[in-house]
Parts: sequence; C-alpha cells; structure tokens
Amino acid sequence: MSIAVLTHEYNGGIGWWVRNEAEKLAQHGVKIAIIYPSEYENITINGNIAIYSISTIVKTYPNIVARTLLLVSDFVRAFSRLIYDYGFKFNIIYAHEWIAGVAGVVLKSIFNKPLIASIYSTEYMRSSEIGLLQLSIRGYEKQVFEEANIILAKNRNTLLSISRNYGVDKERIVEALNIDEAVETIIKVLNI
Amino acid sequence: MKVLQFLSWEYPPRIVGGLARHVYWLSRELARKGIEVIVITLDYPGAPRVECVDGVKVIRVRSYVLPSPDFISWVHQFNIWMIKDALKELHDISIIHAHDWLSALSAITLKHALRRPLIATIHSTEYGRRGGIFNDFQRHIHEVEWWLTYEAWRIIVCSEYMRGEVINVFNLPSDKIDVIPNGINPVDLSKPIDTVKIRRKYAEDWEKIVLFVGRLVHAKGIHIFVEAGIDLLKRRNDVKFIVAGDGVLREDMMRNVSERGVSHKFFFTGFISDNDLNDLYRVCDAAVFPSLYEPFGIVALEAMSAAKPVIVSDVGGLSSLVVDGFNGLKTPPNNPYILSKAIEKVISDPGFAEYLGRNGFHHIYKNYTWDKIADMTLKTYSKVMEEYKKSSWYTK
Repeated sequence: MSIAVLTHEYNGGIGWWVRNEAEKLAQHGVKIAIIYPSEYENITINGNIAIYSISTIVKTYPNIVARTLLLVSDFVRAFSRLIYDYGFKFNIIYAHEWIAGVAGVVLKSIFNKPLIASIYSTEYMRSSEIGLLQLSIRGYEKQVFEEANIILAKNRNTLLSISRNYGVDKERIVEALNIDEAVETIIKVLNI
Repeated sequence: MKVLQFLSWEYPPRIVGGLARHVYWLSRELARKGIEVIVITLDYPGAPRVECVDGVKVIRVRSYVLPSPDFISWVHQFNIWMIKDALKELHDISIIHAHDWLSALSAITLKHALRRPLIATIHSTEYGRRGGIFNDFQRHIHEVEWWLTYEAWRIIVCSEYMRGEVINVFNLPSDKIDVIPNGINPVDLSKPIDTVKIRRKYAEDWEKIVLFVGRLVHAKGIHIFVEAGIDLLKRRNDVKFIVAGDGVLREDMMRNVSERGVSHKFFFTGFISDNDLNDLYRVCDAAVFPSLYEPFGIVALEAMSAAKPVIVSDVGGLSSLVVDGFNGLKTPPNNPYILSKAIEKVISDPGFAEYLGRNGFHHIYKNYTWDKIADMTLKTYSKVMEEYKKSSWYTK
C-alpha cells in the first residue's frame, strides 16, 4: 500500500503533523512519499518513507492563487517521477490544505486514485474580508471538498465550516483531532 | 501521429489576435496531411463544446468557473480546466504542442503526466512586448515563458529575429530552436470586386489610399503612422490614411488628428472583418507597418500577397521579410518624417509601386503558404519523435 502526501509546507505545524503521521503510517507497512515545494529538487528515500522536495522555476507570483495553480504542475511532475522512475504504485492521494488540495484534485483526475483532503481551517474562518482573492480561494476550497473522497477536519469548527459554508455532506467529513485519529481513518480507507 | 495543439483563449470564433488564425490554419493543414489533431481552447457563446472543424477535433473548455483575482490567475485557472476537461481525449497522443505562455501550465503538466514530448511555439515574449520587465506581473509572465522554453523538447519561433530574442531573453541553446515562419492565406486576387465602389467607402476618387493594419497599441507604431501622415499632408493633399484595427490607442489617435485639423484625412475602421480587410488590401496604394516591436509581421505578408507595395520599419521579422527597394521599403523605426518621405516616394511613382508589389507577391507565394509551413512543422515533429523514441521517457 502506498500514499502520496502533498503538502505546501514541510516546516511549521503542518510539517510536524506530516512527518509524524508518515512515521506512524510507515509502522503499519504503508509506503509514503511526501512531496513538498522547496528551493531545490531532491529525493531522499529512507525505509518506507520518501521525501521529495520539488523546486519551482517560477519565483514571482501576483498572489497565492497563481502560486497554488502553478504548484499543480510541480506536484504532478514529482508524482509522475515517483511512479515511472522510482516504481511507486500509489493507492491514495493525500493532500494537506487547499493549496496542495488543488493539485490533489488534478492528480485524482489524471491517475484515477482516491483523494483524502486534510483541512486545518477554511477561508471563511481565516478571513473576514470578501474580495476577489477570498472568493477565489473559497471556490478552490469548494472544488477540493467536492472532489475529495474523504475530508479530515482537524477540529470541530473546521468540520462545521466545511459542512455549513461549503455545503459538503457530513458523511464525507471525519473529525481527526490528532495524528492517531487521522492514521486510523487512513488505514480504514486503505483497508489494511 | 496524433498531435495535441494547445492554445490559450484563441480559436475561431474566439479571435483576440493572430494566434487564433495561426492555430486554425496550421492544425487544418496538418489534418489535411493525415495528422490527427486535437485543439483545446476556451468556450465561446454559441460555439459547441466539441466539434470537428475541417478535420480537426476542437474541444472548448469552461473559461469562467471560479472568480479570479487577476488576469494571470484566470489564465492559470483555465489551464487547469483544460487538463481536467480534455483529459479523456488525450491518452494516446504523440506530441503536445503549446502556443505561448498562456497554455504553459496545462502543457507542462500534461507533458509530465502523460510522459509525452512537448513542443512550444513562442510567438512573442513579455520582454519584447514591454521593452523590458518592469513589474512583478510582467516578471511572472516572463518566468512562465522561461519555464515553458525550459520544459519544451524543441522551440519553434517565427523568424531569425525571434530566435535571437529567445536565446537572449531565456538563455536558450540555439540548437534547441527551429525557425518556422507564420503562414498566410494570400488575398484572393481572382475574386471579382468593384474597386471603385470599395474605394468610395473610404476615400475620394482622387485620393491615394495609404493603409495601416494592426492592433492600435504602442508596439505597432500607430502613433508613428499618424505623425507620418500629418507630415505628408503638409506637402500634398491627395492622400487618405486608413487605419484598420482597434486597440487602446484608438481614441487618443482620433483626438490627435481632430485637434490638428486633419480628421477628414484619417479613417478609423475599428475592428474589421477578413472580407473587408481583403478588399482594403486590394484597393490601397500602399500599406504601412511602422512597428516598434514585431516578431513576424503577418499583416505585411497579407498586403504583399495582394501585390501591394509595403513600407515597414526596420525591426524584428519585418526586417528580414523586406529587401529594401526590391519587395518593399524599409525605414528606421520611430521616425515619422523618414516614413512620410518613403510613403510619398511610393505613391508618387506608380511604376515603382507596381515593381515592389509584384516582387512581394512572388516572394510570398514561394515561401509562406500554409502547405509549406505545415511541412516544416512536420519535420520538427518527426525529429522530436525520433529522439523521444530513443529516450527513457518513451512509452508505447
């Protein structure tokens, strides 16, 4: 069993979560590839865990939406290389937050694999402003929520926001307050 | 061979500039030669989502799905729908052919997803269009263009001038670039027209018609054309200047000629249909293209195909197209006074004008038909497929 984990950051809170979750999943015999954007392109494989830092050629962005959309191509490149050059056979695409989630949606449509989206907060929760940027981000979040087979909400408020603000059926949302709960859900999806 | 010809928002009936026509005619000619071509473009009111146009499969994707904070984000957004909406058609394609930065994201993504070779045609660069890179929006586009040329197996440009530009701007190796000119549809000179009637739509019988065709933007030198016209009018009154095309400078130019008391000597047509434009080419006495930046200069070729004398600025693709004094006249860019003298020289000497027009006409028919351009493009495709089949990327 193998999972491609997409994340836009490998430091900070999400990075901590991703690393620890990967170690726990690896203990269950799951092969993990963590893909994240960085300043340089590199692959390190240690046991069941591969860490792939992708280097983005485009460095200047007008806003986070443009950055997110161009990252799609970098995630697809890494995903494809892991399959063709490193022999990965992914069973699941697992994307953290909407930024990697957009790439997850595209990868799902290309490679026809189920998508799990891990969501820490929503744009409704983060921003009280309503400009084109916020509306755009909400639109992409909605796409991710609609395409994800399962959404892991990292707290109760996020779960409620995904359900109320984006109209997502609660049956597809699982509250995962800690790594153990998230791993439990993923293991169920993998049917191990 | 199955070829995917991506493009940005342009494919008839959605026409913004020359890109739509380029992709339409090239894909049609390739299909005529037995190549299976798929074009992915944006939706347009009334146009079907999927249709077959002259042997080419055209797929139109949704262009306004989500709000976008700016133009760049919108461009990248429709690239995402290009990937998602068209994916099921694309699994057995041989080559991806992208046109300009507007389709870079979808083309590069599909290159890696499908592991197929990518060819990119660079019609112009942000650096060239702006005369440099001055803000972050321009820098972003410039970087995306660089990314596209980096990812492409081979690059196609339309002129030697553009080869030099992409080498300098993107630090590309010269041997990665093929020069394939734009093709044109020659003006049909066999079609009978009522010359007098058409002329009278634009000018008095005793007036010479001097034609400008192009977008009314700074790079096309419309302001130079207007200044040259006003200068020439100081010496002779029997000239009418026709400006065919539209753009952001139209109002400024109309105000300029009005304030200087010569508005009756300029006719701004606005956007013009192909039929009307062809009629204008046939009735004009000279066609002027005073661009400051011109990767190729397709309108000059069109005028030459109508056997009309052209006067061009000595820049970009125009520079290599025109042999001064043989199939047209060249003038230094950004100099309306020398331009006005060149116009005067041509309209004052009908024999010389006919000589230039005749030579231009033969030059076009020998070198710029779409049949020839498609053959050159096929050579590039074959070369790429040959290399691809020997590479580790090759999958049957």
